[in-house]
Amino acid sequence: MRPRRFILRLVMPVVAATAMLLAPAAGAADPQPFSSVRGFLAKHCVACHGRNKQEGKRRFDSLRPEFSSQATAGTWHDILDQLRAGTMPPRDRPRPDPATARKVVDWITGRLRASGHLRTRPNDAVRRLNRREYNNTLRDLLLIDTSYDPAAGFPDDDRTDGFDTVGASLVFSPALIREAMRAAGDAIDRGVKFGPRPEVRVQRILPREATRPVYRTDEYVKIVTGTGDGFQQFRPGGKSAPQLVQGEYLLRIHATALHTTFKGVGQIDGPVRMKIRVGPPGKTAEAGSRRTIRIVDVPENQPRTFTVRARFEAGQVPIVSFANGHPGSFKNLVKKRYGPEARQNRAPIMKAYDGPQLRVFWMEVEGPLYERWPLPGHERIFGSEIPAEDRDSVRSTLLKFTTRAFRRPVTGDDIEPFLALYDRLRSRGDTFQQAIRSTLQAVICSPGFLYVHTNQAQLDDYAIANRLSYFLWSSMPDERLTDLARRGVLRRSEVRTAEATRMLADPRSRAFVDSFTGQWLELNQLGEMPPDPKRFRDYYRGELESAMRMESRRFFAHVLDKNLDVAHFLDADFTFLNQRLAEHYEIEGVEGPQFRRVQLNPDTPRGGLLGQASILTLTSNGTVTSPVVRGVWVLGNLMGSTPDPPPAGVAELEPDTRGATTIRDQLDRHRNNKRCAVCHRHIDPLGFALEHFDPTGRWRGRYDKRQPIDSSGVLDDGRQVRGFAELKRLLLEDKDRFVDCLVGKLLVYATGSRAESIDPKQARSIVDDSKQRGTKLADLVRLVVASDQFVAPASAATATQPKSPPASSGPRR
Amino acid sequence: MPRLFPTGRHRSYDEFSLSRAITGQPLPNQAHAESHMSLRSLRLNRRTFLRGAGVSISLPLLEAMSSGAAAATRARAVAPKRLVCIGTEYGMHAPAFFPKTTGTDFAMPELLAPLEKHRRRWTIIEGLDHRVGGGHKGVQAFLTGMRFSFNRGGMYSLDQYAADRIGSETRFASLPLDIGGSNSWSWNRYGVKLQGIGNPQVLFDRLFRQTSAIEQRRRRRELDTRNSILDAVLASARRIDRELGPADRHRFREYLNAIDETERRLKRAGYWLKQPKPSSAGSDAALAASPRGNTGRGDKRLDGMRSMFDLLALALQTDSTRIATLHIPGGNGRFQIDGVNDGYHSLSHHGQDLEKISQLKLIEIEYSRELARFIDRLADTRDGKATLLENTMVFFGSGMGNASSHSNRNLPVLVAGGGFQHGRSLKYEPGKTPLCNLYVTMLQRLGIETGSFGNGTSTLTGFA
Repeated sequence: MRPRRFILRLVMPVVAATAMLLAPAAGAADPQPFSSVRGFLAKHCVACHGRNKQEGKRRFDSLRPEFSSQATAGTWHDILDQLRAGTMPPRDRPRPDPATARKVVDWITGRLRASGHLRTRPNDAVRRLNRREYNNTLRDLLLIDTSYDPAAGFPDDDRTDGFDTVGASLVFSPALIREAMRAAGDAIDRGVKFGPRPEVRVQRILPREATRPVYRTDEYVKIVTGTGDGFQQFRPGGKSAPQLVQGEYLLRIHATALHTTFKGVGQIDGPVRMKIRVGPPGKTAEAGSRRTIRIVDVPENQPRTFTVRARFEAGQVPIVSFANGHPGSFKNLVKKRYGPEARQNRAPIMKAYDGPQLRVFWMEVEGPLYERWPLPGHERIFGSEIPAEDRDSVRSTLLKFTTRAFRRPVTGDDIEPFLALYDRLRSRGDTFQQAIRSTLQAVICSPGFLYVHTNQAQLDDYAIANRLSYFLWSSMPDERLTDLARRGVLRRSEVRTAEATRMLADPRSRAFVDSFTGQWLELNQLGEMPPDPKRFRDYYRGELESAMRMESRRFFAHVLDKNLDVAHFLDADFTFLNQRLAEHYEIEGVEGPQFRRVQLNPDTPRGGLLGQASILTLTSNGTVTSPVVRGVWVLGNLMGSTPDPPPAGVAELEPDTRGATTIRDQLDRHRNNKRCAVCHRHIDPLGFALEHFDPTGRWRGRYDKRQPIDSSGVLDDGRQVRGFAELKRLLLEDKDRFVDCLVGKLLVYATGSRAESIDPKQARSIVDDSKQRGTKLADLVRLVVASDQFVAPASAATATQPKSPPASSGPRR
Repeated sequence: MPRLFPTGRHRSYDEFSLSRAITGQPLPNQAHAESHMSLRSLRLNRRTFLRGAGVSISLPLLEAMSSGAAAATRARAVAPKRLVCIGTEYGMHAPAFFPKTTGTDFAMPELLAPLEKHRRRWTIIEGLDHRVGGGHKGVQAFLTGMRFSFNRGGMYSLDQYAADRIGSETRFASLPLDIGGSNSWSWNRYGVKLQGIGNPQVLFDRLFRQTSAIEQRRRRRELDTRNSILDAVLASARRIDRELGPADRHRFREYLNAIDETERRLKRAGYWLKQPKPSSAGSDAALAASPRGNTGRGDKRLDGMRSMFDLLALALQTDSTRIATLHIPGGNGRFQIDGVNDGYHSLSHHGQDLEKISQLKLIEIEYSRELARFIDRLADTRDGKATLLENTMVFFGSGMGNASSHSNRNLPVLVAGGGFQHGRSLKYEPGKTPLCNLYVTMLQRLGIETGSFGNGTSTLTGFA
């Protein structure tokens, strides 16, 4: 941990900068007189928007510094938008001096804000927990394992400015209330169990209980083909299958392998690998409803018992399959090895099969197992004794539970509705257990639980505690944070900084790594439009997709844990690989499924986010690469300027994949059409520089149809870019822009404010402070937490409805 | 762009204020019966139902089916009007969908060949769209007329607009359906997309499975528990609502609205719990004919579609609902059709590859075939003094104009039934007429008094 004095030094400038900001509204003491703004407009704009020409029907030579009128304020806003986006003046005109342009931007912003015409909308003082946060909060409230995904039935959370923490997108609906009631009841049933510890039972599953299609004898089930559903597996079904209640179980599987070294159709590399899964017993199951528990190597010809611990949902069964078996049906295997006619005679072939195979003799489940009884969540709520049913005890139980569930102090008045519910149910004839269950359910469906709310003009300490914990843990505050809130010290930035350091060291901070990378880098979208299985067969071999996702997460986690310079995101001489991904990258010497840090050769076309297959795949549409989508990704996520969607009335590109033209020929239209060029001159060159990566992120020398790849281009500012290596170099030259972008993303994610509501000066001061220390990632997180923006009330921005909806994302696919 | 439904959230809250919900005064419609049971819990093994009765439904049997509601309808002088909206995720290949000429003597386009024998019963309309872009993201404009945006809200689909006004008389205010999945084209008045029913068994249960006396008692008790929980939740919510400033209260209204609406639904559910469901003789057969497993898979998609159409026809006939949507999904599954050997999504990105286009057409012509079959069913079913088809507007289209270029312009539009003057090919100058004008026409035909919907400001000229 860092010495405290240092943290103070780090934090002071932020406080000073914001103090200045909170002084009289911008524009009162005008540091930039209108005359110099007029000079700027005259120099850069009036040639096209003046007396002689009014491009776009706009004229600025006679524009007055008049902000009370809607019309002139609107014109000023247009100027502001163009300058902020850097889209004006056009490329063929001289560039304005950036410092001067920034002053003009600040001046217009200040005037618009003072007059109430700045187009921001209020942030929401209340925001609903998103699905991730809901799950994690239930986990920590009821002390249950929520990997079963309590919120599975909730409608998907939408995102604003790329993040699911922004209140605007977290809508509520009757469907959600219905699901929230179901999820609450279910979670309570997992965490709260009355009565004595349930009896542990051992149930054995014999080969005769296996459902088809498998070959089975009285002694064993024989599995010779691969892993997916519809292939062979030992899956108990029918009435004889054990009926398990939800809980943890020990699962034992007695099995062996045969003919591992067989050569020919169906051969395997290395040992037979057995995949152990848990899921519904039916033949067809919903995608994702079967969970892989473990994949183990099975030794040849020496039966042994494998034991794993696994969670079963009610009614689920164990399912065993041959992970590296022939990747096709048995029929397909027979056809390939013996010819098409032999398909009719599969049974004898199976009986005498001499290829690699898995033999499973029996399975056994033992449980349900509870490490503690009463369950930890139950004990937390009711104590370890049989709960008293008198009203005072119920009242005090409810008060304690509601305080934790609402994550803030709760008064007797606050729990009055719940007590009334309890009374009503008891008088209806419900037992104590029934009534208290429904009452807890009501607490968990209340807005006090479902919403993070910050109703004060200034965030109070409990709101800050919530903001900290939902930022770094995506869950409720722990006891220490709650205690700090009670003591009223969380408004002190150095306390928050120290807490951030503590919280980042806690395993719960993996929630931050996963969800921030999932959203900032759009990793969540990986797999939404997976590559065409016919053309990219390789993609479906060996869990490549999850390896891709893992590389980016591990990389981010490493930069965070080691507090490295964020420039590593743009270029780095290392990454994280396992064997499968290393093969994909044609990097040698990485063996085994586990991920490790790999030093990259200087001539390897990897390093930095843009060399990662995850990003390159999720920016492709599954069939071909799109320089436009990739360019938009780079602009939006690394350079902080998401382009607007194409204007209405522009005809879409009619793709032609017959091979006569390359994507470059097709996108030439963007250069030749002035309306397209405004944006696409920013977008396309960035994407073209990545054209040597195919839709799965593999390096390619040529396109499929043998046309050569041209990855060169000219950036909007005139810099040449020839391929991936140069793109990384150019991005590093623009590192400041990247840091601005990343800070902006962190602030949106952390505060749940809209991007446009983030005070640019505050963001800038975070950037400036971090620069003194080498722009390191964990420092940035701490500076964000220490900033005044972090504790600013959500609805600080002036409420003005926007004229038009802002672009939520660029043109896609 | 003008805000099309600027005050949806506020207004609904004010109209159906909390006090009314609390005092238990009757509130307007919007029923989703059995809302307390999740889709999942209703999923039963299909063996529970008639085993091996794999027969198609004979029409006399359908005619014989009747229930209280349907019989009452028949007795009425004016049969109710109905609306079914069917939309494909990837559009229809336009060069083979739109006729070359207008008028009544047009040459039948390739994709519409299965509909040839009904040509007097439908109209095909070219040149309409919503003037929105967005590619796949713009497809959700299909029934709303506006592109989805997180910040703007206001998505409100044609069917839900109608259901909010005329849906209160049936067990289901509307039925949003899907094939295999849970997607839908329906957006409620709070701008939230409704979950579709994609599993024929689930739909069957909702429509026809009778509730036993024990089950009824259990459910009534559960409804009562839920109502009590909602009361507590609402009281707790009002405490927070009071603490919020007026500007902040806006977001919180959504929550209050949701509670409010849920309470109303529970009341409706309580009412319908007492009403027997319509007889299910023909529906058992329909269910038995439905495919096993996930009907969203490419190879089962067409069978799944047929089951949904069959059950939908029964739902309309038994007057279980008067408003429905059917979402025909995309994805890259492979259809089990001779000559099709590539994934649906890959084919939709044909890039002018003639081989891919011909495969794509093989899929889309099957949509027409199922549509023709559905129209047949409705036309052969008596409904009061007319046929079910004459009282049901069947709108087939998409929010996608050209999936290969991701264009949301010039959308496919075909309207059958509903008592319109049919048999024509109409063309409008592209970009001049909003598709929502057609929606206004259809809303008026449902008896809803409105002169506008979405960006439609009048009825569709030349179609009545």
